[in-house]
Amino acid sequence: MIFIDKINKSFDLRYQRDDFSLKEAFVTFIRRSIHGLKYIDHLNPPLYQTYDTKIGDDRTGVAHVLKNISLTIEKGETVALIGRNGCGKSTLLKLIAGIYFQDNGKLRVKGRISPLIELGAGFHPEFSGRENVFINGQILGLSLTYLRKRYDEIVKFAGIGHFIDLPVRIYSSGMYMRLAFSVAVNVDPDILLIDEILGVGDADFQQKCQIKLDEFKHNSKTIVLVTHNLDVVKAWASRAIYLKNGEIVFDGPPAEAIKMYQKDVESELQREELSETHLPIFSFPKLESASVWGEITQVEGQTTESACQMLELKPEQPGLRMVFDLCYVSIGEHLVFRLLNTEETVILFEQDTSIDAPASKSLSGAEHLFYHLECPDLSNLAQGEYHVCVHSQAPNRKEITLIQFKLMIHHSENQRGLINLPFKIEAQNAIPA
Amino acid sequence: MPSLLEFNLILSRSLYQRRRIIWALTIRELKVRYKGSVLGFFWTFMNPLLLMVIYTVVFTSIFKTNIPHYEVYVFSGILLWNAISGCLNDGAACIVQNSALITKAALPPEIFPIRIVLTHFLNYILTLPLLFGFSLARGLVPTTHALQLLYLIPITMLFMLSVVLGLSVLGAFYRDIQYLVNTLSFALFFTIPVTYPMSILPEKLQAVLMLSPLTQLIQMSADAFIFGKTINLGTLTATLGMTIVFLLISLLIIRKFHTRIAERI
Repeated sequence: MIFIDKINKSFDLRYQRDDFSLKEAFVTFIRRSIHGLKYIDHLNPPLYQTYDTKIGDDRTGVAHVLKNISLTIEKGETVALIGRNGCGKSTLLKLIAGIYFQDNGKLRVKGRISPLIELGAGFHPEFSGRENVFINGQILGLSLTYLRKRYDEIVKFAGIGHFIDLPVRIYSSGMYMRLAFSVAVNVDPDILLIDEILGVGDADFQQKCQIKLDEFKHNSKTIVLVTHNLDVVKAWASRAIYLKNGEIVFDGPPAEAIKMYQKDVESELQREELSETHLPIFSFPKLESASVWGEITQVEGQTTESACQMLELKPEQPGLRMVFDLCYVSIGEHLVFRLLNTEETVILFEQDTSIDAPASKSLSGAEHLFYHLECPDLSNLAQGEYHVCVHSQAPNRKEITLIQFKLMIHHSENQRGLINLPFKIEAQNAIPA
Repeated sequence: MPSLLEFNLILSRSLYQRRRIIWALTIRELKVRYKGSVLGFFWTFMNPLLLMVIYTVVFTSIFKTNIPHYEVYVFSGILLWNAISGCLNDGAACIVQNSALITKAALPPEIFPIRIVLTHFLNYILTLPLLFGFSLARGLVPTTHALQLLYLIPITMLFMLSVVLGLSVLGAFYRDIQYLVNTLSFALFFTIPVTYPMSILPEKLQAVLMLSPLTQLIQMSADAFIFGKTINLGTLTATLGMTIVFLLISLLIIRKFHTRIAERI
């Protein structure tokens, strides 16, 4: 039985950076100490906030992978976890396996667990199949005597013939997986955790696997399965849990879960198609709001809707105002505003601004520090279509497009060209002297 | 966080349950070393043998040391030092290197430092008959005092384990520990009486160096094997005391980091 109550799991991505080192740990330690000393006589010292110069780096911060998960899996159930990549299925499986530990919440597992997360994890390339069977079997928790007894059967099941006495580094990947699976199915746990390892080998081998797993089911073992193969879910699972962004959105009969999941995937695909056919606007980072003076087109952020790819400016007071969420831009980077002709061949205007945190506001904790960008008067542009883009530019001159869209300006009908000059033409009766 | 005693019990139990895996992995590691090379096992003492020749030549012909059986002394010292420094260097890297077994096969990370110590010291023990033969060939007949190695080696292993347990976890969190240890162990080599006997140093320096448990351990094994002396009980107690201190530190480190090791490798 697996009992999970209000589990949260997050990963601190700061440590996953390549450049995280002793030095950085030391610097943080010193900074924190200074912070502590500074507020030593304060009753309620402000919390120390890590001031990270790489705030715009998506490797920083915390990823909340599982949010408030509660579920109970009874003995004998075959439960499938489904969901898109990165939804937290494997993390949940690893929590159950005792590889990861939850931030908070309760997790209790009754019974012996066999995690089959990756087949052949203990295989050593230099050793023969035979030696690897024994060592891998022991890693999976099988005794040496048991392995000796079952050895012939394991080799037969894998069907790799005389290759068993050759080092596994020369095996084809199919042979490798088949041997690994043959060892793995010999485990005799109360709870079997399977992560994407089905669907190995040819049809014949698949059938063998199916028979083995049916055997597990009949012996009323608990099975928790992570897979993208929805046919497997339909055929084997007695219950399916659909995870989306770290939350359980459905828990129940597999058929319904699959239906829901497929619907979500389809709508997601449609949205992707939509944004692909049009200009990729506001996808990342989000534009909080872009408003156009004159006729104000308020564009709410967090959308990739087609509404915002063309901004039309009315002639009365054409201007542009954009608001950026600064957490996508790093301190020290430059923000480059660029106005081009619609063919993007001529830069009409470019402004480059280095980004500093406003002195009055500290960045600590402020996840949303908005950066305003204004170009209030565009009346010097001629009627027509323009291209606007904003880039962030790293010190190494690498540019990331934050936003781009087409701008439509309406003036009088008879203008052409790029700029709008004061222009007058009058007819006079008198002939100049 | 659980109390240290509680944590210790949980950890010990989980490691005890996996004693067979630890053993199997140790044997595999030893096999890996000797696989695919013609001379196999002999490579283990090719390096000490060569170093012994170099040191003997340098010390006896250039520095004109006339310590009796200097070559046996250096050889036995280097063999033990190789086991110790091997533990330190591999220990700092072992959890990272075995990340697949930890994150995919759900093995507890702490089994790898244990395996490292077992591997290096089994290797050391396997070379002992050779050392014995070499010593006889050079005319040094070990006395019954050499039997003290029977408990000195386990104590050395215990001390190394108490250090490597914590070191391996730190090494998984801060990768530069590996490089730090590599450099430090090279420096440490000169503070221990391997290339020179303690007796050639001034008394004050001797006293300072003897504070290091590594010096104590190497000195004690030399006393037992080469000099045929009874082990100084005070030194032995000091070493055991240090072992307990390091073990406690290691356990505190493991308790602090244990739940996050798998995420960081």
